[in-house]
Amino acid sequence: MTLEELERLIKLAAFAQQAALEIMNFINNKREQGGKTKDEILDHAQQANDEARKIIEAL
Amino acid sequence: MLRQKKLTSVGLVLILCFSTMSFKCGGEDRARQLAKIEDDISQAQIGIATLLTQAKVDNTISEVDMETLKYYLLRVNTANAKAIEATRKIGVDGNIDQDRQTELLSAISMVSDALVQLNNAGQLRIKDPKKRLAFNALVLTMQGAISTAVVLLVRKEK
Repeated sequence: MTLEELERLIKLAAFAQQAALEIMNFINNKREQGGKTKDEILDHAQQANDEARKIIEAL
Repeated sequence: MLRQKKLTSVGLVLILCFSTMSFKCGGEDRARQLAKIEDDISQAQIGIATLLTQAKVDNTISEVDMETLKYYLLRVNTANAKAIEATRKIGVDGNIDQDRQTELLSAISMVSDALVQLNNAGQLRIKDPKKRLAFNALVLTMQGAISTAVVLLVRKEK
């Protein structure tokens, strides 16, 4: 194998890795949290925390 | 011989790629689990606040007792808000560096500390047995969530 061929192979592998990462992230994001990403779950947590605060302050 | 060398090279590159990929996926999963824990803690707070509201309506809790519980519940709320803020700072790769880990452990520790005091106060001040049972269940939920968060944060990534 020449150096150019090896370089080309590494570039192809890097591209394949990136594509695989995107696919894995997509699959992970469609898991038990009903397809929510980390930030979507955090937004929900924040809203619920704020709602809790309102109820607590009204006690 | 040349073909065998090519196949070996391809195989080695692919192994390297997949090893890196599994490491990155583990990090993102950890961040999502932390987010879910904080969501669970938020939901449990709503549960406790709702049952205390009912206790106020039923007149089964004094004003003094209510103020004490309200104080500790607000501390849990504030600490959880800090934990949510810290988790939000975790990047898309899910990597939790030393500073982020310290910040998250500190916030989780604050939630835990406030929860212990809330639990102690609740045992003494919530007189209605059904409400106390519901309170215990919600506190247990939060305690379990906190334990999971600590394990997630101190666990070393492979």
